[in-house]
Amino acid sequence: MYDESIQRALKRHRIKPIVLPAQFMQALLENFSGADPVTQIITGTAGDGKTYHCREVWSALGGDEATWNKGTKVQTLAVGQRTLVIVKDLSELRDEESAELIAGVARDVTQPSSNTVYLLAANHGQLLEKLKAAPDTPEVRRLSDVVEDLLVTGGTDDREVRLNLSDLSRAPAAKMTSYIIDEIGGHEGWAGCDGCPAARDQACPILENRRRLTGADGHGKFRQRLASLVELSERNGGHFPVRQLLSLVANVILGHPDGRDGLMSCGDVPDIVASGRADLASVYRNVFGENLKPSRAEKTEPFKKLNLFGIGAETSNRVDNLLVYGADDPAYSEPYDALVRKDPFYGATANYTQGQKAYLEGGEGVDRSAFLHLLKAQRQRLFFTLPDDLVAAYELWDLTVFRFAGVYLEVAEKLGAKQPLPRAALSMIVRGLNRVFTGMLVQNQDELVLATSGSYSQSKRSPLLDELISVPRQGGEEVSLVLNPQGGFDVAVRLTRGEIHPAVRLELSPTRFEFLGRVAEGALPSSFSLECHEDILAFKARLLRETETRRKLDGDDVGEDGQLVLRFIELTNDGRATPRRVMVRA
Amino acid sequence: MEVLARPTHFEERSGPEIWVDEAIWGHRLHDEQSPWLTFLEFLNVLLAEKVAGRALQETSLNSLSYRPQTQLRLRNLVFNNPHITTVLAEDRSDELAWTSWLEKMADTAGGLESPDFAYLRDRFETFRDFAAVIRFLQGSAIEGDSNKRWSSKFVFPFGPNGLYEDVNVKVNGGVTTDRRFFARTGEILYLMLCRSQRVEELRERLVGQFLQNPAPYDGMVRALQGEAQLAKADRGGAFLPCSSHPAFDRLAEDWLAILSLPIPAYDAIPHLVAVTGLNLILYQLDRAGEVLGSERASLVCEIVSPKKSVVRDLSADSYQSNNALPQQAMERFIRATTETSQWQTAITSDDAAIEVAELLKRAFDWPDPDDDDERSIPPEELIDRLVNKAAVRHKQHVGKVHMTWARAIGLSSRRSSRRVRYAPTDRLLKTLVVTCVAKRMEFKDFLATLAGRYGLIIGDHQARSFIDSGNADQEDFSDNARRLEERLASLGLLKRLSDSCAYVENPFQRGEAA
Repeated sequence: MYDESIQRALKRHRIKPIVLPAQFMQALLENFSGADPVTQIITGTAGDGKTYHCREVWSALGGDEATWNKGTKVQTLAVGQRTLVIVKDLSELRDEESAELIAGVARDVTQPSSNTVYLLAANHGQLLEKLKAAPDTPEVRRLSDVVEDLLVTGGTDDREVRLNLSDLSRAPAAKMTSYIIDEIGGHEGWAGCDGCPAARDQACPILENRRRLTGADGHGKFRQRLASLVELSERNGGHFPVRQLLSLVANVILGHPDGRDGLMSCGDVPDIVASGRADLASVYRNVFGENLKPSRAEKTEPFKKLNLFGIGAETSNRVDNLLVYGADDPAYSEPYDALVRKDPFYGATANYTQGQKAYLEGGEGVDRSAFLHLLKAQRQRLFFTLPDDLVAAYELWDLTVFRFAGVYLEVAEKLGAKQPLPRAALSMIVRGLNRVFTGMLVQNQDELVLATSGSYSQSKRSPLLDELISVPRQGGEEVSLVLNPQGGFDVAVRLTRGEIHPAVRLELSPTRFEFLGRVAEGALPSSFSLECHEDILAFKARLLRETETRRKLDGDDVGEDGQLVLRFIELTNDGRATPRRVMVRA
Repeated sequence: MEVLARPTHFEERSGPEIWVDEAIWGHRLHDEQSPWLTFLEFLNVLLAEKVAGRALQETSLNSLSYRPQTQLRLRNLVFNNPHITTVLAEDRSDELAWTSWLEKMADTAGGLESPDFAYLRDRFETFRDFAAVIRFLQGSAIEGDSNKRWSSKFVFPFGPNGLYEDVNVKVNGGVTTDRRFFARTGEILYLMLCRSQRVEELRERLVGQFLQNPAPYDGMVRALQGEAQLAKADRGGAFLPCSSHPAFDRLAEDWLAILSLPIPAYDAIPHLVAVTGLNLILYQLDRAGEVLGSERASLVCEIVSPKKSVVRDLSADSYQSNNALPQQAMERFIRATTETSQWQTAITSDDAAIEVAELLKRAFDWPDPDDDDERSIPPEELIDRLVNKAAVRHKQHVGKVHMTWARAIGLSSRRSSRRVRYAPTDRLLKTLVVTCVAKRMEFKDFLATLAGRYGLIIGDHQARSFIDSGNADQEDFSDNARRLEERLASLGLLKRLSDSCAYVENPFQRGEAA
């Protein structure tokens, strides 16, 4: 629906459209113009660009634009000897129409000789609903099983079904963010601002926001940190479709609580500037939807996901000391100049300096909570502007709920570039795992302490030792961090040499990474939600199964008759777990 | 479904004084017996009956009579043994440590005719090893940090050797069964499963997984206990009033779903315990509804939200009204007598007071035939008195089952509210997923299953009646469902595909992709 109305709007306003890379386009075109094409399903969240892909395939294969624009639900195109059927949105079809279509698809995908191939687009729910609504024949059931497998697990066992599924919601959104910023920030339409009086005075918040967004005038950190947040969110399963990124970027530039719908237009700017409220247009607030009513921001997708980072609410003493006392405290004067005063637009604004003064001096009738709101905005600004050389000193990631996100991103980057990892990362993960595995504050970080409770796996303490697994490669054992095909990374535990028994892997999402990091620092696993704890215990259960298999293979599982050998974990004085053998004769 | 009369051969001296709650729900549901202890009592019955060659088979209805193990040596060692720490603290040689400990133990062990633990010296290399094993068993005990008497503490059911009944050990060494924490709820559970349709499959799985292939640690328990000790007499008197009931079949199906998961038996236990608790709560409500002739109870569940919501209020209301159901049923059950023809005959007879007393005696085991006071009270007043008496008794235990058990299995909570409401915990949600979802299921279907199967109302489709009556907006319940979706996703039990579509996944059937 969106794509169609956008096409019309483009024509009406005569604007040059934004062109973004379409990640599956190349593969789709090669498939359909190749010798042995298979049917393709494009799926994804609303706003990922499904219709866009269909339209582009249509035009690239010689389809007529005017025919497409008529908006027929099912379009056909002859490609060589074959017929390509394109359905740009399956949900537009009435149930009886789609039933017929799906029956056809189910027939054609199983026959290699078929001359008809399809390109179908639908978001996940609609796709499944249509499959369910189709008449229940063995062919349709086979098709829906394959589609379900592809959707949920990304692969299928039924290789004879000639079908490929591209899920746009698995696209790397961090990269897309950057393309979108370039396209919007560098659009030719901005030339219209030349000669505007507001632009001359350097006072227009819209233009200021554009500068900060695109990274002009030394504002490069904003894009970089935003991309980091998007990437972390994606790794945690919070996907940003293209449409959401577009609306996010638009909101960043135009957001202001006084504008209509929270967005300012050129006409609003003189009033906003004159009333001294230009600082409320801050990109650093807009990116979290703070220009909108809280109830609305809570329900609007991109802001919902970004606000999970808690930026603005989280802080550290050092940061707050700087922001609150920095103006008067000589110890902070240098960084305060560099980090706050240097930015008169959104940093040391008149509002902020006055609020700060009133807050510190107190007195009757001072609205302290007003300053706390200003403080929040400053923390948000600091998160997006802190220069790299101060990241360590001010613990940038302490401004978010993911204190270990910095290490997480560094590990991901180094793994991608095949460079040595920060040493502490693996030790931290191993220590965290060990503490969850045993339920004790063990210090071991060069070996994995695999422990069992003897009773049910969910029990909190595990006093029995199963195996100690060496972290550095030794006798076939190894614990390491490795990239996974989804673009994130896993902790992989290898128990034997060779490839017969692949390493046992656990994907480390930022949340799990954070959990293990904090546990390694001394936090109790139970002080978090059950989520991570259960994941790690399930990982342990898989490891325990593998060690049992290994013992069977090595013949280590046979004990003497009538004897039961237990290995209890004992803690040494420096907190290391060591085994202690106990023999029981029955 | 046939409702059974009280068995005539029922002859326990200390049996129930009046027969009201028992007639509706069985003998008996008891709030002080937690779901965990119910499960343990069940395993005891199962073991005893399996030894007798009739696991999960009722020769005739309500004839269950079994002889459980007592394993008093084991229990003394694990739960009535404060000496180990003392002896270890003395830091003497191994030989002296054993001697010193054996002496102390001989003095304090309870319930044993000849407390001699010397056999342990052959089974352990050192006293410290022995101490480590005891510590391990204490650490893995069921509800191990409770402050119950030592004879009401239980080692984890690794296998048959660790199963024994709850007893009272007197100071003089006498052992009695006071049914304090094994109050027959496990027997009820056993009878329910016996009478379920899929009992054959269940028998195979339960015996196979819990009795025939015990965990290796059962050997350790056996080393401590030695030969099994049995109770001196059979335990009879269990009673369950329905010869069959949909609730029994639901319970059995839930158990089978859990037992067929590819996980070790001991990992299945916590899930079995939780669904048992839920099913028994529902059984109590179902039966109450049958007596009252009302519709099946629904349980409106709030998925805990940070702010007060309409669903929270409705959930608290639903909790409150369900909590009152059993007592209403009990009262109705008694008063229904006055609508029978026997009642009419009795009150119109010459000797109305005595006839009515006789009638009540036959039905409810009250009043006492020797108590002339009660036999001379006018009929209406006598009924009132019976209702009051039964209500007092009901409130002590049976009436608390819903409240206590709902909290124990994580179904109800008072989190951020003064009123108790249904607000399932993460653990219970996981159990529900593991039980209801074979491999994966669409989220919408999952909500429908929970409502259809257990009466748990979470989403807007299931809450139609509340929305149509104007007590809630559709949005209130769809927000509630959305919160569940988020919770399940964060528990790793749900995979979201796009805004309108999500799958609930059974974590144990997902293969290795965790």
